[in-house]
Amino acid sequence: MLRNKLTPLFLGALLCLSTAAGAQGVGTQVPTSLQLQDFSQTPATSFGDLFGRAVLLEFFAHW
Amino acid sequence: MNELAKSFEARGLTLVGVTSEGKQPTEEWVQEHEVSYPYAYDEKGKLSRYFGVKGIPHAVLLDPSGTVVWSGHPAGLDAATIESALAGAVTTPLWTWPEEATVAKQYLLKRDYAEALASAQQLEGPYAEIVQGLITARVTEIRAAIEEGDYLRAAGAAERASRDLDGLPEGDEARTRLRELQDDPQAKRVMKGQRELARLQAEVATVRLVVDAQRLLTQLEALRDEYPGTIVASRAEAEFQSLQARLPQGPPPR
Repeated sequence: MLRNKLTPLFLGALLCLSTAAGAQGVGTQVPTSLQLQDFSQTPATSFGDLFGRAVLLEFFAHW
Repeated sequence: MNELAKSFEARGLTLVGVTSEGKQPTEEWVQEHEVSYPYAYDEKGKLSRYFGVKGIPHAVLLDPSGTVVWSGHPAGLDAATIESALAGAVTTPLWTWPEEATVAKQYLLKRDYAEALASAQQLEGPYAEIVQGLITARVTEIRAAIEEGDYLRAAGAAERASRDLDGLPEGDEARTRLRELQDDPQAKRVMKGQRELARLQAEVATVRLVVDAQRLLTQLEALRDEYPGTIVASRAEAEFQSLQARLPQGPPPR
């Protein structure tokens, strides 16, 4: 059965599926009013504070 | 991630960890793993749904204009991609701007760069120069994309810039470049190929079975051969090689 399946690109690839159809993908200009709460370890207090910077959002979980 | 955040921060990158988890377990995790970069909470997963995040971890890279330039598993993000996203990035973040610059900031958040520049020019300090830097970077991106033959990226950037830079000479240039792309038969042909490649790449991202991968390999080869000497061919070839490397070696099972 394994030979019918591909080698995952990354170790976590099976857990990292593609983004959903219709999601905001490459080329989308996102609103400056996107909501994030309780910024920590930064003087920024809103997503708008980050405007003009390159921003890398890393979605993570503690489990 | 700590190292990545530190190495690019001074050059205009802000890394923000985003979680939908509870505060207490997150704070404990942050301390345990000695996370030093900023993080914030995504209430009820709204931002995660907005970007279509289906698996964790996932990263989304935005350029200084707020445009998504990359999205995927963080392990797949390379330094070159981050470097190219830094063009025009402000090294004086908006949260450091003084009270007098509030109006200029508000125009920037509305993406009205003409008014933002006019307002910033009334201020003492580097603010007019910073806004002009953001404006110039938008046009530089269009020119660079055309130079590379990445007409789809150029057209997208030109469309956004012609809207955001309305009233500025740079906005006029963006509109001119967009018209030229739309009228150029070669550019239109390449853009059609780029859209087809994007469709195949989306399928490659979720392919699991060898039989489907082989079908995609055939389609990538055909696309590569249909657009020789263009960005479509080089990227189709790269995608082909990457997917082929994932095929299991040896004969198929009986």
